[in-house]
Amino acid sequence: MNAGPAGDGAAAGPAEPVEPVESPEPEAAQTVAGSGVAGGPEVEQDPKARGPRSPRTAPAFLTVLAVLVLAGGLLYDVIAVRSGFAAAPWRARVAHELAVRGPDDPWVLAGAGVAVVLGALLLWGAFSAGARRWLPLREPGAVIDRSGVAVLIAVRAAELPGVQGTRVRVVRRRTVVRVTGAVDPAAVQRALRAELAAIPLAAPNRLDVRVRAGRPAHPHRHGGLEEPAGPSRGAAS
Amino acid sequence: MSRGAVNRTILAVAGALLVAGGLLVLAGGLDLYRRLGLSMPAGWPLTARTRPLLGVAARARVAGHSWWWPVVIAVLVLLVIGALAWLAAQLRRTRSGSLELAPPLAATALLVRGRAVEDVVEAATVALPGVERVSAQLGGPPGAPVVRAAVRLTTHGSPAELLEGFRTGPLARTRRSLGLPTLRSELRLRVAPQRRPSRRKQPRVR
Repeated sequence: MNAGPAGDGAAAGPAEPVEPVESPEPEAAQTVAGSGVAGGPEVEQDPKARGPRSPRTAPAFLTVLAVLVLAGGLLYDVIAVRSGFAAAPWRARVAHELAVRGPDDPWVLAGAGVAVVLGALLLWGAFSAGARRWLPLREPGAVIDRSGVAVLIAVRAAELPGVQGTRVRVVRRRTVVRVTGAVDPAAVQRALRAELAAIPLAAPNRLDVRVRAGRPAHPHRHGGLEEPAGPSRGAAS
Repeated sequence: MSRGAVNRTILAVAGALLVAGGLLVLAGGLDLYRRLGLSMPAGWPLTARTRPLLGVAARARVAGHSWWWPVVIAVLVLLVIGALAWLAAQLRRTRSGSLELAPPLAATALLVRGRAVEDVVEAATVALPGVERVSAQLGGPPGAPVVRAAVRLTTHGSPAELLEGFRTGPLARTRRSLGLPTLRSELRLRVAPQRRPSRRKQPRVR
């Protein structure tokens, strides 16, 4: 339903004779249609709206597994030594290395570097939001796939007159549309802005349309193959 | 604390320990204290570049305390128990198979199979315009059930219309029929991949 008025307005622009007075009208109609559709729960766009946070199950699993193996192995050996058995070879080896190597040993330095990098990765995983694939919608608890937004925009763009190819990339706060074809950039921008505004995203998303004049309507290769055939035949007859 | 919060705490603690330990060793090994002119407090570890990380004398001194080994064993036991508890929590079923409605939550005591609720939500959602596929799950803790629906729209579907339709249709009906006006919902929208018109298949126009 929301695509209807927007589509009519955009299609009316290029189809009708060029009249400067006409151009604001479809845009006004679009904004009215957009706000009417988006007005489910009356929530304004919130620049700080956050999407879902990833539960971080896999990294936590690996960490817990490492803790279990290290602590379990050490516990087993400590208890074994306390009850009169000899220490396991690996523990004697570790104790020996620790007693021989100082902090300036290359192996120790390399190990410390790895520990810092690994720790930084874990900290990053702990504090970053994750789940970047989902954009929050205005309805609480509702999210939409970023590539889903891209598909909706790309489908709308492909319907516009003169458009030959589209590439859409949606990131958290920005949608970049690359359109190929002989099109009016302003009309494309208007139509796609209305389409993006019809998606009730919780955080504002900026639209960035880049138009590149495409190849002529018929692919060059076909023309190149047929064109010499015509004149040569003409010359022969 | 939610499961995500537990996981993130585990990651944060492990990461902080690794970074702190690694930085201590790096600072000692690269002799940063002397180069930066820092004088650390007396007990600061690993300030000397060449002194072993844990020499025989230091080990004997640490292990000489009567409390040392009991404390080590206790800490290791706690770590192992914690890790096993975490793993067990992962294996436990996250969704309860049924929804228990009792007087504080609903008007009458009732046991509803989760699958029944999910089926109803799925059937009502897939009938909304622009919906290609739906899968619903009933989840959440016992006192606060959540309907989670993953919806796939067609390429011409409208997210705004779907949100509105879902709220006034399947969700409202489920809330009403279960007598749960506060039933929460989580929606995940996706859109069917765009079918690009392939040029090769188009009939050649002469």
